[in-house]
Formats: sequence, C-alpha cells, structure tokens
Amino acid sequence: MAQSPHAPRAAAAVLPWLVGALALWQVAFPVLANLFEFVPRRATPEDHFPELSPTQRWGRFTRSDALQSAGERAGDLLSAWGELTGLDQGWNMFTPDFPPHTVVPVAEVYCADGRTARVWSRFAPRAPDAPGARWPLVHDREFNFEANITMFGWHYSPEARREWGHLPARVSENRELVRAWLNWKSRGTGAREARLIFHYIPTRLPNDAPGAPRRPSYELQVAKWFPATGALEAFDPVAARWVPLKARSP
Amino acid sequence: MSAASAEPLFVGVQPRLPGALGRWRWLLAPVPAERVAALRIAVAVCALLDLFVGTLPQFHSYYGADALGGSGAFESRFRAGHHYWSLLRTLPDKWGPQALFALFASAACGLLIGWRPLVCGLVCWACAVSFWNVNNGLCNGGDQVRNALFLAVAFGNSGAAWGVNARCHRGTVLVPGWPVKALLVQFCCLYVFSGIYKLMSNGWQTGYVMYFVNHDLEWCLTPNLSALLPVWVHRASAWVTIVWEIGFPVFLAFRRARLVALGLGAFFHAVTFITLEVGHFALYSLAFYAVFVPWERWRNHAARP
Repeated sequence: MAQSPHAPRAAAAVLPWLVGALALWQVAFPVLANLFEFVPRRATPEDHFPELSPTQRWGRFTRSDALQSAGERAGDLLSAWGELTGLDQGWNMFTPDFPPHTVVPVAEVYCADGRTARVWSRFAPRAPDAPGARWPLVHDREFNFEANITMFGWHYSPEARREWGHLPARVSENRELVRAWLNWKSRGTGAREARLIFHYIPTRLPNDAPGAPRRPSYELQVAKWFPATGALEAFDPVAARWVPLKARSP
Repeated sequence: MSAASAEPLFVGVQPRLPGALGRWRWLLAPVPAERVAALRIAVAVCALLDLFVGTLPQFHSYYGADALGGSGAFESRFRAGHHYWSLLRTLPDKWGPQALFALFASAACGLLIGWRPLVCGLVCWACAVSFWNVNNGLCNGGDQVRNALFLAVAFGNSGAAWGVNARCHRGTVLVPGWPVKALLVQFCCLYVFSGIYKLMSNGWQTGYVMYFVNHDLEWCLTPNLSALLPVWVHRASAWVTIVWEIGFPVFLAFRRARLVALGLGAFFHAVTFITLEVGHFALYSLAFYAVFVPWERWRNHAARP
C-alpha cells in the first residue's frame, strides 16, 4: 500500500489518544486472536454448547494453574471482542480434509394420513453424470445453512459405520439447525414426523479411468423430528437404533 | 493552481500513541482519500448485491419464524458466558427483520454515495452483526469479512473523496491510515492462518483436496467444467493456494512480489466466486483489493495542466 510522507502531528487531546488505543487494538487483535487458538484452554460448560470450536486447541499448555488461568482470561478477552464486534476469527475452510463424495440433505416426511414424501435439497444434482452450472450468490446463504448441517456427516461411509457412534452427539450439537431445516422442508405437508437423511454421491477418484462408472450412492439416517412435540431423535449407526435427545438449555 | 491549494489536506483524527509507538510510521502514515473512498464504494456495491441478490428473494425463508429463522430459533448463540448480540432480538418477528433490512439497504446506499460514511458504516455494521448472529447457519467467513469492512469504511474517513460529503480541495487529500492497515492485518491473518491449517492437512499436502472440491456436485458451481481439467491442475491449485496464503504478508513487502500476490489474490477470489459456492465471502474479499489500486494517480494525472 502506498505510503504518504505527510504524517500530521496528533493533537494532545483525549480523542486522538482514544483513536490511538483503538488503532493499536484493531491491529493487534486479529494476530492475537488467531494465535490464541493454538494455546490450549480448558473447556467450560459455555464452550460445550452447542459445540466446541473446531479451531481452538483444548486442554492445558502448562502445569501452572496461575499461568493457565491467565492465558484463558486473555483468551476470554479476545473472544469477547470478536463476539461483540462480529470479528470472530478461526479461518479453516476445507480443513482438515474434504470428502470424496457429495453429501445431499434430504427430508423424508411422514404424514398423518399415511403418505410419505421426500423433499430434496435445492442443490441436489438431477443428473450426477451430466451436472449443469449454477449462478453464484443467488442461493448461497441457503447453501451455507445446508452445508453447516451436512458437514458433520462429511466423512461417513458404510465401511466406517462402526466408528460413527458419535453421530447422536453431533446431531445434538447441531439440533437448532437440524430442527429449523426439517421444519422448513416439511412446512405445509401435515407431517407427523420428518427425518433427515444424508444422501452420498461418490466422486470419481482421480485415478479412475475416463468414463468409468461412478460408485453407487448410499444413505445415512441422521435425525427424526416430531412437529407436534418438537422432540428430536438421532440415529446411532453402531447400535442401529434411534436415540432420543434430551432437551438442553443454553 | 496556487501553491497553497496544492498543499495536502489531512481529513480526520490522527491517532496519538505513547512513546516509541508514536513513531510507528507504517501504522500512522495517512493514505490518499481516494483509496478509502474506493473501498467504501466497493463494499457498498457488494453489500447491495448481497442484500438484493443473495438475501431479498429468499428473505422470508431465511428470517421468518415459520421457516429457517426467527429471533428465538438459535438461542444457543446468545447463551450465558458469550457476548453475541442482535438488534433483531429486541424487535418483533413480524416486522423486525424487514425493518432492519430496509435500514441496512438504506445505509449501504448512503455508503455508496458517500453520505455520512461514519454513521452509515456503523449502521451497516450493526445490521450485519444482527443478521449474522440471529441466524448464523446462513453465514460463512464472508460475514466476518463484511463486519471488518464496514468498520474500516466507518472509521476510515471514507467520505473525504468521491462522495456527496467529499472535501473540495485541489491538492492531495489524505485520511488516517490505521483503519485500512488494521484491515490489511485482518486479511493477512485470514490468509496466513488458513494456509497454516491447510498445511497441516493431508488432503492439502497431496493437493487432492481441490480435485474433490472442484468435483463436488453441490460445492462446485461448474462441476461440468471441472472434469475438463487434468488432475494435476487441481492439485497444483491447492499447492499454489497454500504458498500464496502463507506468503501473502511477505510478498506485500516487495514491490514486484506485491503486484503478483495482489493479482493472484484478486484472480483467486474472482475464480472461486464463479466456480464455488463461496458466494459473499469471495465478493467481500474482492472489495478489499480496491485499496491497493493507486486511484490517486488518476486524480493527479487529471489535475495536471
């Protein structure tokens, strides 16, 4: 950025001092806030609901309680500023990895009169082997909402089913998103129950022969929501059963 | 042109710092008003696109209490021990979101024409934070970038040039440099820490992560075109991204490397806007690059007899 040689002298008044303090803080804040994510801190109940930050390191960085607490208080100050000003840090897009499949959320609606219907995401590809292009920005925020749900099932595969006993906990952490999305998708259908299903469409692997058939799609039952009571259940793929989620208050 | 009128005019409050910090030239040196004005206009255009193309057509679905939103839909965001806030929690669901949207759009128009940019910038920031918090599910990192940009144009004396409140002065107009320097540090952190997380990832190390992102049928806006590129291009794009992100602050320190890094950054955000579902993140990030264009040279050139 071009620098001007004309740096005026600051007046000796209160306002320039306040502006100076703000300037220093705004320059230091992003650096410190991002660095502090690498400094392990002990999780509190406030950190646990709805979920632990994926970028913050959890635990201890020292055996000294005083030093550990001082570090955590400094972290609290940085977090508070980020939350108050909307300058939250934590830049980790597409990490630690990206799955080798497309995950499409589907709402399966069970109506009181016995009918069932599937309501697919707007972004579900109609023909996976001949996909079309989409306009940027137009439905980006709706996409974000769905991506924030499907991300917790990104790395599921039928072969890894036995490692997915944590699925109910992930649904519980994201219960507000899941409930809002099922409510929206089942609106006006007279649903007595709505289920969230993740539909996986495998991506062709980089070393697949050109034109090789895509591996078969598969699905994972994730959650069911009962509009009449607001109750939410999550699927445990290891025990192959539904788990009622206890109501939790923030 | 008289000698007096050619003297630079400084607009704004120069910050005062204690001791040796008072000689921190990088932070304290003013910048040409046109740079911050260009940032203001770019941010306003992006905000209006975000509001009228990305939000308004689905507004009720996003913020309606019977759809994805409502002031009480995401109570956990406002739990004890945290400091998130939203004006929408004090307004009724029936008309609050619409009223705040109208205020937001009006303030963005104010920024566009340079009318009271401090007030309009702060109003935009308050509205942006309110919508960001009340339904965070709709957001990505672009919303944090948006919040930072609004604060920079609010505190940057961005109306000193190219606006209805611009100073009439025939010479150079300068404004305090610290708001755009703070924004620069924010973007350096965004890139560097993104790069560090990527560097720790096996998928990014092998480069295959971009192959899978570009072939994802939801995340990619043009998966039909991705298949036309050889695998090594996708992998190379991952490696170039890591080097560019981590090296960004260093590249800025050297003139030629700076031009390449800034050009690559603008290209990266433009391409990801068109090809990936990153939407307003790419849009607002592109707006930031407006401060690096030497707009004042055109003014100086035009002012020559």
